[in-house]
Amino acid sequence: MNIPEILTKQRQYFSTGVTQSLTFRLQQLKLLKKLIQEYQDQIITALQQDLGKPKFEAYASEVLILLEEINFVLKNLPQWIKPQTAKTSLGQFPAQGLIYPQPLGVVLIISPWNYPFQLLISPLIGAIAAGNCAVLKPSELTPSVSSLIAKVIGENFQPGLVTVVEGGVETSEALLAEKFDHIFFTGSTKVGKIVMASAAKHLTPVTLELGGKSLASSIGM
Amino acid sequence: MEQITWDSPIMQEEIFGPILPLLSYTDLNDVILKINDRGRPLALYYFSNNQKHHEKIIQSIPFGGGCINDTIMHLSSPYLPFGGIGDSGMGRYHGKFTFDTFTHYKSILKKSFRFDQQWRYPPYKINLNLLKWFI
Repeated sequence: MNIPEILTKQRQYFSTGVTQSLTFRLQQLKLLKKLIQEYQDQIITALQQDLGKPKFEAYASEVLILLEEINFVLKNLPQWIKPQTAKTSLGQFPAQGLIYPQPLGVVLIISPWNYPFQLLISPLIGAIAAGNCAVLKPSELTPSVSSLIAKVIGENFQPGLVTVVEGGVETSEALLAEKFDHIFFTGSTKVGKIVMASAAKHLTPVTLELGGKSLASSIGM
Repeated sequence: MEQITWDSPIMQEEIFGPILPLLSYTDLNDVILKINDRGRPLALYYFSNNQKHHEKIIQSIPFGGGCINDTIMHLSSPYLPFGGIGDSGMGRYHGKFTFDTFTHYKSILKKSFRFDQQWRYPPYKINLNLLKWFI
């Protein structure tokens, strides 16, 4: 499937409204949780192959943290998706104010190589919880993790809901040429600027999780 | 690494690895100015038992998030929003904040056919001063 076809498929899937129901969202999140548990050994092996991460660190920072996140969302999602009531002003009387949490549509998530599993799946949890469809682009610099994610997602999720697109710079460029409803990018400040410029052409909002020269540790008395 | 200055190559790019460049300071105000002179950091970790200094660091340096007397663990709580500012990014996530990132909050004002406040429409019969008084 090429990229425009994936987008069309996801748009069609989103417009069926199936992602709107709480039951569906919980089901998909439980499936994701089950898969992470089922494949945790392979995930850790892939992280060791690509990055040489120690087992303990790989489990704690890329598996455990995601399971905790999913549990947290499963517990709280029924509350989050309820329409909230809001006060109305005197000039509007009699009226009821309501705020409906609505999914954005089809979103793109691009992740880097340093936490290649966690930084891709963590935003996905929120994207599914909020009722969106998602295209995932894992880092090409961690090929074992990337192909494992592509395989497991491909075998278990509706491509209309979640699709993994593997590849490097050219793939990212092809994805960024498309119109998404949100782009969630984790990576460098330099590439973040490219992502934002591409998104601007479609007026697509972005979340940019960047590093740059980021870690200022300060030690004092 | 010691004998580093703010202009050293290692201070220009993000470090991915077990390398810790050390720069020393004596005046906290001075180091705050130096940090604020550069791109806004994603994270800042401050080690000290001085409560006043904690507040000073938190209030006077723009950065994404961080820890006092620890590193990195602020990102492991679903109750804390994680994200950068300026050069280190925009938006925040984890827990409810990820849900909010991917959610549009649609506002609806629901009314009925039964009652309408006619004074809202032209020709305006209401005294403007009365309207001002109401607000």
